[in-house]
Amino acid sequence: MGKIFLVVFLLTLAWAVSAAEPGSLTVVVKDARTKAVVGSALVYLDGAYKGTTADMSGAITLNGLKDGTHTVRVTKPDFREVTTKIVSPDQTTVTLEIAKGALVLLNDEGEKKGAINVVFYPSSTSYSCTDHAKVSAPVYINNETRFREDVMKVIKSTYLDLDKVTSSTKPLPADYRDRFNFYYYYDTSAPADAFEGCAGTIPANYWNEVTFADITVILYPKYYGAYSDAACQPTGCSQDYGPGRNLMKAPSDQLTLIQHETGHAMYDLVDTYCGNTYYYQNDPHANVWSSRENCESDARSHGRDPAQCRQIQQAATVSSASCSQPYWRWDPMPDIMASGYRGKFGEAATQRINYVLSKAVTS
Amino acid sequence: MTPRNLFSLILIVILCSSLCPYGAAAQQVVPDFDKVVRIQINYLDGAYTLSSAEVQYGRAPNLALQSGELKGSILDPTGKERLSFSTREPWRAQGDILGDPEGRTLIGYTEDGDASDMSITVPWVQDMASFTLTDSRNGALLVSADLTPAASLFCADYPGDPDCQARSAPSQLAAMEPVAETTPLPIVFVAVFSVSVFLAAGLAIMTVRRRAAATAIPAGAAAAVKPVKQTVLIVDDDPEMVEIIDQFLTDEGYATIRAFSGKGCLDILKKQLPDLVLLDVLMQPMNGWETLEQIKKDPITKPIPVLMLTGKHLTSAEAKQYNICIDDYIMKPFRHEEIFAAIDNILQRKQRFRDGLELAKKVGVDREKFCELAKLSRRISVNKKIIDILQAPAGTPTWGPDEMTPENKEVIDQITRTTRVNEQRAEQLKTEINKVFRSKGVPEINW
Repeated sequence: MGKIFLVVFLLTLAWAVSAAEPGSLTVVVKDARTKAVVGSALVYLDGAYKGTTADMSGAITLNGLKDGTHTVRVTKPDFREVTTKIVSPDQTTVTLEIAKGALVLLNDEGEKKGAINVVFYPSSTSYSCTDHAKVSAPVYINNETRFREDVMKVIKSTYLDLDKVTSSTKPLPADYRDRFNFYYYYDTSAPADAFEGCAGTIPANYWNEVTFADITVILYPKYYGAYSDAACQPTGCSQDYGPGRNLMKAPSDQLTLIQHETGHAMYDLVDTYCGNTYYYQNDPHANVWSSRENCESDARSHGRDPAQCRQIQQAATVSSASCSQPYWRWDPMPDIMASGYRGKFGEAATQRINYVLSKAVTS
Repeated sequence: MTPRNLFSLILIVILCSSLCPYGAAAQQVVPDFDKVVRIQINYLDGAYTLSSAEVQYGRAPNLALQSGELKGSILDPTGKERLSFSTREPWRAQGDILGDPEGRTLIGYTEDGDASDMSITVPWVQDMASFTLTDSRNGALLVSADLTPAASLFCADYPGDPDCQARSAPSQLAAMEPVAETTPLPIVFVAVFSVSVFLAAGLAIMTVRRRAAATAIPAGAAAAVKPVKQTVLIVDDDPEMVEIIDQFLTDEGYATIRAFSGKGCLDILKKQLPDLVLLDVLMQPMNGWETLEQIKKDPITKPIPVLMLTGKHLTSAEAKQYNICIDDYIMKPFRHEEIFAAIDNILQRKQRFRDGLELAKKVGVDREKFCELAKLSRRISVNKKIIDILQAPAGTPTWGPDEMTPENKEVIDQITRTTRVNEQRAEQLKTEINKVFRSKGVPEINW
């Protein structure tokens, strides 16, 4: 029996020696900034996982490459992945530099699969309604700590405080706070412009790198000047360019407005104030209806008083004309979807928030 | 210890080392093969056009959270739906301006939204063949994309990716094993290592899921089809007027559709989308302004340019309320040339924007920047016309400033202020865009 094992051993040895002969490639991974070698980086050849680089040398040798072009991909948590093409057998070594990624996870307990991914992005611009002009706002770009602090304040006072501004008759899931992953993206060379377009603009690299954001929030520090006329740019705005590119902007010092814009961007809630905005019946679990009948019927089926349905309209004031829209609302004032400074999400809006949260099943 | 036992021991040790090659640290290594399909779509004046479809490594967003009027579907080669989700129309920017804390605390801000990019990111679906975007309200197909070229291109770069292997014929790659350079092992160890892998192969379960990046490729064809003739929907409750306009538009080579009421107009728009609507203001029971509101409220019909036609003077209230909705305003009685000039102006403007956008795309000008300029340009042109009308209604002598009603003056002032701001911004954008155009040898924008 011992002889058989010996034969197998020798045959295997011969196979191993011969297997080492075809094209080999040594992949060395370095840090783009420090140029130090990077160990434990994951290396893939032509899409197949091959192993990790050694901690001491930052290298891994791949054997048995066929002649021709191959794709080498390197990934490592917290680093931006890189990909390059090599030609075997001409190239026997390749050095790939990987850079620290700009995405920072804020969850203490790590990412949760299936959660709602919210990414904050700093803007280098603000706006003055008095001067009708975009103004420079470099504070977030010059000071990551300040940006991080403001992001944390916004998260704690809005997303994680949602139970305080929603209807207690339709309570949120007890674990609603666990249904979010929060991140911020910080690259001083690529700030967002909160006032390029209604909801702002972010450099393209972000979208290529962060493919999974359910909402990206462009945060800017402060909006200057009181509203004077319709030529002023919006303080907050949301625009959905498709799954993965749902964008909103808001100033970090206006927490109610952030709730309002999040109402649009995350929960698909409709404005309940009367004005030049976009109205529709946001079924299912609408907070705005296209007829009194629809509003009353929805109220009845959810145990709410149908008499509370009223048209979206506003009487004339000294500075503005009267307004009337062919849409109906139910939530009482002060309603966050009607106000930028105070209020709560009413029972109808809370029902829709619950509906969206129920779709975020974490594991 | 007998040689047999010794060998068994070595084998066990090596088998273990092959399965856990780098000790405790290696246990945390989870190869990442998540992939997404990114479908880029251009939206312009109601038409959705495919820009590109590509596969890249990355995680997908949570599609279950999405809502909206559009439905995206990934289909397999037999046309069976493998994945679907809702999404919103990309033009819908919902802006709010903070107002007086004690008065109207929020002021609505909407944009024309006649152009926008759409970017749809969905997870890799193993047997995906195509993508469709439809309007959930009427089932209309808005755009489709063949995803096969994107998947093939990706798998040409990453044939060893488990999903690519599963998708196509077995990989031709030779078996290759890694050797960490920091552990330059004697050839005997390599051999034994190989044996362990060889033996472990039957035991090891390689069920890793993969992701990998690919270059972008255009795929599929645009869904939008341009009509040969430009179609004008004529809406007037005076059949004789409709007949007259129809006659001379037909003579000039336009296709026409007739409607004799606001409701008739809206009914036609549910079935057919013209290039332009010629809308009379004074109609019963639904007047032109009410009809206009309905046209602009429906996202499908919103991008259609509307030319208002009336014998009644434009009031300041109408101007204030509707200036962003209309594309021109013609007073009756009119000469044929006036109508042609107005229609040509609107349709040519539309075409100019389309052509300019194509050029901008080719030379790398930011699309949003170009679209913002296009929108501002249209607004400026319409607002100037409205100011002219308010200042000198047809059939009356030109008013002096003190003869003007306070309402007219206020609206004119407001529109003038807005126009001035818009002009400044447009000039700035035009300078920036023309700088790029010049550097690329492309004719500059002169509108």
